[in-house]
Amino acid sequence: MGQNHEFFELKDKILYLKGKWVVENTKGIQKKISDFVGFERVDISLVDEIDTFGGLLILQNFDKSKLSGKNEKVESVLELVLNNLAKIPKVKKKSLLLRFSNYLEKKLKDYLFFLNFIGKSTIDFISKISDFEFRTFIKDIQNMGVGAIGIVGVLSFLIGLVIAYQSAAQLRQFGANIFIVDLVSISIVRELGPLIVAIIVSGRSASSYTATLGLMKVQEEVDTLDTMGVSPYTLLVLPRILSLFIVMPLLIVFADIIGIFGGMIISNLILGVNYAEFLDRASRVVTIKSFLSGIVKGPVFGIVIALIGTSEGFKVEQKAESIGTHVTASVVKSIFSVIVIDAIFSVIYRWLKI
Amino acid sequence: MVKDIIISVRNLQSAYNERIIHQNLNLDVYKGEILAIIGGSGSGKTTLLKELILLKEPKQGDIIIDGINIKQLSFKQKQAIKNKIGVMFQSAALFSSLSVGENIVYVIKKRYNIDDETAKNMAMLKIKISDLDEDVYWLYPSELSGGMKKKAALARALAVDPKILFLDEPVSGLDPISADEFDKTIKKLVELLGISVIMITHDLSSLLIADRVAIIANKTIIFCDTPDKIHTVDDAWVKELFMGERGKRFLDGNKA
Repeated sequence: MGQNHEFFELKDKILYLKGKWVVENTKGIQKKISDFVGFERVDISLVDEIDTFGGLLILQNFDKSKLSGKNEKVESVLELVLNNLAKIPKVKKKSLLLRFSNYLEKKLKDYLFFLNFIGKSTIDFISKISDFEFRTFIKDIQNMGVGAIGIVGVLSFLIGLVIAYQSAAQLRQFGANIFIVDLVSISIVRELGPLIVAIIVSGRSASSYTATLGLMKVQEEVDTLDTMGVSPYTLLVLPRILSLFIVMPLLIVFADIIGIFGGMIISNLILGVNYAEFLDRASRVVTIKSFLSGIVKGPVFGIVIALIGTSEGFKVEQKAESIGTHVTASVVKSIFSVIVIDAIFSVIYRWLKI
Repeated sequence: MVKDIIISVRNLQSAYNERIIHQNLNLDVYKGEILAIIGGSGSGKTTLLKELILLKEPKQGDIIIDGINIKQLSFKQKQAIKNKIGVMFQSAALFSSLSVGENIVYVIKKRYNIDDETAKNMAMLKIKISDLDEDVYWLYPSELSGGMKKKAALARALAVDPKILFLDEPVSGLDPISADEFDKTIKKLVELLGISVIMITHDLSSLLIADRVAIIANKTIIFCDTPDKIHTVDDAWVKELFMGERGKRFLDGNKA
């Protein structure tokens, strides 16, 4: 009786291995290997070519004491494989409780890091103010302020348009057409203007800060600065905080104007409130108090966004996905904080009766 | 004894835009040998390597790998050649989002669609062959030291038992003892598996494991022979390298 195959031949109770026992043929060999039974010895002398894949297959499927035949190449490969065989260490599965506590620990560390970051920044701002680079600051105002004007303009124009459009139908039912002015201008000046700007800046600037500082961290530029005695906080964080501090209120003023302009166009088209009427009423409705109450939010949002963006950047580790994770985190956290802070502002204004 | 040629390069010309890097470059690599390529910074070692591993197309000339001219190959043929080569880049270039073991398993499964169990066992085997501990399997590249990264990169380059192994400065950044160990590991693998190794190096002691040394200068290969004949080369840079202060140490060590 004899069975024949590309890689095997069974003859006189001896299984002859033959052909190329290499990586390309691993699948083919694995498919056939269990078909051959009832042999007493395995002969390796006919194998033409072998690599570690073939070696592993031989050692896994046949008892080493059954191997026979002379073949220097195969023997040396088998020896190499045999000397280096090892089991993959098991990864211990963590219990649910442990995973939960790890999660809590991570969150807690996150907050501690942020507090630590604020503390260190403050100390460095005071003690190492000489490291401050005016150029970085101006460049950041250019990028994050002037660069954002286009998108802020378009979005606030559209928001003004939409609010006027939606409320027009309701106001017309009561014949309260002229009150569109109050509705549009106050809501934009007090709430929507600052919020739109803060969300746009969170998306544009916080992400860019995290990515920039994160890459600097990965390439050890931050460590280099530190060893040179230059404070990375004063050099990298402070200009960004200051620039958003200045840029945010300016962008809000711009958003207010464009947003009200958008509302004005719709009021004229749908409710027949002409431009002169609109502007006249708007200038009386929007008091200096409500105008300022919107603008004041700007610097606060700016500081928070810059702090979150830069601190997330400093958290980046030496992994490809790390920058991505932290950029996402910085955008999500800054938008979240902005809205929470906005809510707090509303409460405070209520108390102060503004 | 006539040796089989695994790679031959004929009249190679390569350039970046107008700047010519190689002109009339010829090189033969034999089966089962370790060929070291040395040359000054900017002499085009890495460019040659990139052309040999199909990352850059030469401007003119032929490169024949394992009997196949790599000019105008179809996608499938290119893939077949790529399956025969393993590359270890200078910076290790491990995928940072995968553990070392997963790095190797990924290569095995992508290239040959082998079942999970075998692929994992092979990955472990490669890790051990490259002189690393079992625990490294689950470690991420960011958790490894420089030397371990290099070894892990070697393990990944060996993943599918390539016929030709390219090493770009394998021992740069390693301490001399680790570098020696690394060289020994490579030598052992070449002897046991019969693979060919092409290695770019700046480390003179790595030349000790090389069967032949190729020197790139003046846009071509000015010397390609056994290391003990290097003193016949008539080139200022090579003379300085081997006859200068540094080289004396190397040559003395070689004789001993």
